[in-house]
Amino acid sequence: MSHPMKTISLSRRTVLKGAGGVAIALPWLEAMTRDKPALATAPGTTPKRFLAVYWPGGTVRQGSIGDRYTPTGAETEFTLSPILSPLEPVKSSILVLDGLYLMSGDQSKFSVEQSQGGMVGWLTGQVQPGAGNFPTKGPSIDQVLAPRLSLGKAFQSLSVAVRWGTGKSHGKVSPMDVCQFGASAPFAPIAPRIDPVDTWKTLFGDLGRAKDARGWDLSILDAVDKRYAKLAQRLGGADRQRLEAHLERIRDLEKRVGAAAGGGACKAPTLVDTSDYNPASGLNSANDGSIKDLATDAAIPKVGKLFMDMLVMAFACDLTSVALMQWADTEAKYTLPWLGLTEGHNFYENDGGYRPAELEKIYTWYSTQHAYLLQQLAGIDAGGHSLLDETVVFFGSEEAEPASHSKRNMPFLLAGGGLRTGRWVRYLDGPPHNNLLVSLLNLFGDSRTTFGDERCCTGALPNLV
Amino acid sequence: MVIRPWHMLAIGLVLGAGAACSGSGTGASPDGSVPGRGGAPGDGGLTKGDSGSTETGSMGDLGAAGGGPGGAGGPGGAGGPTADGGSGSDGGSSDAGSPADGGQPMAACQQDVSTRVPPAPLRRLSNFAYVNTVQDVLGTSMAASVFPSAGPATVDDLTTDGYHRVAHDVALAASQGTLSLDAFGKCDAGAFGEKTCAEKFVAAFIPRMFRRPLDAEDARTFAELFALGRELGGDYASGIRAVIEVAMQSPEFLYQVEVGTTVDPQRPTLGRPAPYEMAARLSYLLWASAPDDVLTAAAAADQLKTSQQIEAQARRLLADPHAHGVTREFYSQLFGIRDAMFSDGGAAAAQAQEETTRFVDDVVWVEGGDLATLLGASFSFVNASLAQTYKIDGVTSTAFRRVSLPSAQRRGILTQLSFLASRSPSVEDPRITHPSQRGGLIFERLLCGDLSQTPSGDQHMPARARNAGETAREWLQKAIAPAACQSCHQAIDPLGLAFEHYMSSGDWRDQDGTLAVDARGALAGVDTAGTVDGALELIDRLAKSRDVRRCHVGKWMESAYGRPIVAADACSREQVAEGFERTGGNIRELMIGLTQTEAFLYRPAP
Repeated sequence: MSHPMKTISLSRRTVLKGAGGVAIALPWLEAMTRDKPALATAPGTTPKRFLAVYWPGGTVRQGSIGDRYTPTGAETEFTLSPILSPLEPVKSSILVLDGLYLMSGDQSKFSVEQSQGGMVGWLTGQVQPGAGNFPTKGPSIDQVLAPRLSLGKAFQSLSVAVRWGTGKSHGKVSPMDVCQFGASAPFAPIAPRIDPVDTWKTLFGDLGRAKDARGWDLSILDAVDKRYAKLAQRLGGADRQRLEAHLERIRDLEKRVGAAAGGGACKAPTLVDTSDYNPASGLNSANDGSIKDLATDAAIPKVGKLFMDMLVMAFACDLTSVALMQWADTEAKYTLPWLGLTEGHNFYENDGGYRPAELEKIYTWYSTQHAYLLQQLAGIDAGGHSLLDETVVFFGSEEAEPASHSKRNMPFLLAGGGLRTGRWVRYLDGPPHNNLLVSLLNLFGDSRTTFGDERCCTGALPNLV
Repeated sequence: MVIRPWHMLAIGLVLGAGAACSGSGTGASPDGSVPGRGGAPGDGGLTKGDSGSTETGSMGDLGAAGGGPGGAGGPGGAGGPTADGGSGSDGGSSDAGSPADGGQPMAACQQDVSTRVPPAPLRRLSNFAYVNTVQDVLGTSMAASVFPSAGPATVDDLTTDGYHRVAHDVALAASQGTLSLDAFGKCDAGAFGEKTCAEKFVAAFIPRMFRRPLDAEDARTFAELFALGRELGGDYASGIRAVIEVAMQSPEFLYQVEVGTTVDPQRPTLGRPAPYEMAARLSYLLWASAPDDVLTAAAAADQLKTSQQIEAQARRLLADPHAHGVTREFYSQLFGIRDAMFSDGGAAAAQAQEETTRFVDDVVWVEGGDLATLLGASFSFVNASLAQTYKIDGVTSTAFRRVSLPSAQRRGILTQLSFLASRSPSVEDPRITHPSQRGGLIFERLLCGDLSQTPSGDQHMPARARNAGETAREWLQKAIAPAACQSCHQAIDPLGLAFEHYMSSGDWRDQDGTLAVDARGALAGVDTAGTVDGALELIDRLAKSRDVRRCHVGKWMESAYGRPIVAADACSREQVAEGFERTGGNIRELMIGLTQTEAFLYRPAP
């Protein structure tokens, strides 16, 4: 279903999308009063939350066992591949995007480090200014969205990471392990929360305070509401309609602020015992991954589940509307003993030669985690629709596939509300992935037509909504 | 190469009324209906004796002295770009009546006065005015980061979220003491009691916020809000916070509310805004901000009644730098300055905007202030980087300074980078120009052509992609071949093609690839119509055009009155246009003139 906000933004600005330089004259005065009523935003179809999920190393589309990722069939009639098969239960809620080109991170085009360039470019669309450096010219989209989407919420955004800071990043903030950058200059990197217990305490230790803040907002908005209703009665005809249209938007805001206040879905997730997991294990890491922390690695599944549960409840409790979850970093030097893989992830990618069979297991497991996350979001009622219906989830990696570190044909997935899901969309001309970032912003009513490095952006990506 | 026939076609012949790209942009009434000139029964006209009462003396003067430019300016049929700023021109023959024709009152001002003032719809503050108002009334720039640029005409979720956020942040800062509201009086709640102090605060704060005196209902409502905030937050500051937060989101703050309409005994068929509402009309027109103390005092003393009183206040307001923001914003929106895009992102855009801002400030407020200079000035303001683009020697600093432009290449605002730059994100190759964008802006903003029916987004695809090495002219001739493209592109492209000497980087070129630049184009549908070779010839014709000036009046009226200019505005429009002509196209006098019209001074009778 097309997003009403988008219609508004298109009609109010020059439309510059794609189209080889076709521009349209814009209505030139914002002050000009129109007699058309404001387009109402249908509740339940407007995305209100954004969640990005990162996993390392791309996927398997080539090698001795062939392509294990790409779906088959047609756009709406498609069959999930082995790696994506765990997503079958939520297939109607996802959008598989093939063909996108993470151009800003392409080592053959810019002087970026082959993996870091993808990591820091993924959500920013910026070109890394040389290996080891952070981009300095722009924010990540989550931070662009955060101030507005998380208005009045306890946290502007929330980022968490499982098994973070491995290998050469040594548990420190580096272009190997950060993909989130501040909304304004100098667009500083933002480190994720890595300790599950601390994170739980921060988020759910004081739910009462957040409720007080919400109570305040609702009282204020209620008073504002009354002023509009009262003045509207004194006005006639078109003026009254104009104020009533504004009042509708205020009531929308009241609903959004109040959404979780009375909802029974908000509760602190169970804090499982994670004492065997050392969140700071990265501090002890070796460049080549030779130092293994098997106890911590073995706890990855339960810590990952706890982080996912916390993110879902952070949304359900309206603590924030913007979140990022990283499954590790681009070094990927951790083992996966629960899959019977006792070498590091990176060993199967490169260090031990390209081993697609083991990699298929790893990526299939990540798909299983994605499916769990989406099912949890879908299971929470947000007032006649699910939490997933009002959330846009962007799953992505920093490279297309590990053998070549290629940035073409990235394995990106979208899920959630405001999108035409249940489809496999192929972009045959390999558009830069910055276009997707533009479209994601547009989905939330941000009308910009370019994002990130302009060399890597040609306008919004079609065929999402 | 020959100029293609479509360059030569008069737009008015190509475009029929109601066509996708029809004229009568600025001001035809929404249903396209326009009364025939002189069709309405006269009411004896607006002669000096008739209307020159103390109430409307200067209007009477204007009317009497003005003579009859009404001829061509009178509402006529639909046609091409209606440079008369509103109601459709008679095929562009607008020289039919000049101010010197003598004797006759303006035709449009002979109609029944009660039909001459269309409704003034409830206006929400533009984002620009909102940010200014928060700054001037509350002393904080917090709103600027939430509303950095122009917003939508109708309220959307982003807008309400933004108002809520700014109100929340400002009120919280005030309650925490990081934002001082001492301007609204200090009161020691410990000594005088919380209730007394809260009442005093409300009595000082609300009138400034709502731009009108406090009434009993406000006093009661905000006393209750204080009590609510006091209870929720547990202290006095929280009570004050609630008052601020609600006031900042109230319609009386965010809108120019006009409910105090009274009947003018001199003109019982018309109403007048209440004195405080007139103060707000003046300050938002000329400052895009709330009335200052002087204006508020004048309203309190009922000294905003006569057009002379209003003109005196208008001249006082125009002498203040607040007014500079209004002209910057107006010309920035008119020329689409903020929509320019650059391959290197923000730096070039900021420089281009800086040049145009300084230029507009200088032309309007330092130089003679006339439109012809804005369009045709032989100077501009550049730093080293822009000087390099414009091929001007001797500017080596990052600081901007005034320079003479190379006379064979540049003149006025239309040869500035902010106008020439592409408005498309695909700006990798500066050789790729967009004549339709450039021409479209001129057609719509300077000639009052109507592009509102342009298809959007995916429906507006070129019929053929641009081949490497192809000139814009070659590409356009094929790309716009489909009939559906013709009506608009035949009107706008000949304007834009005149700018082919300028790359989208702003640089001048003589060669486009292997070919010599062909910058021939045409201006149609106005008094100075004709073919041109290059932008400077086009600019010359635009700067001399009376129709362009008339269109400009219409654009200013739209901006000032916040609504489309309709046929019923003809008298007001004639009056402003006449003054604009009389002062040689002076923009400051045009702004004064906007405060002297029936459209500004009156409302429909209640």
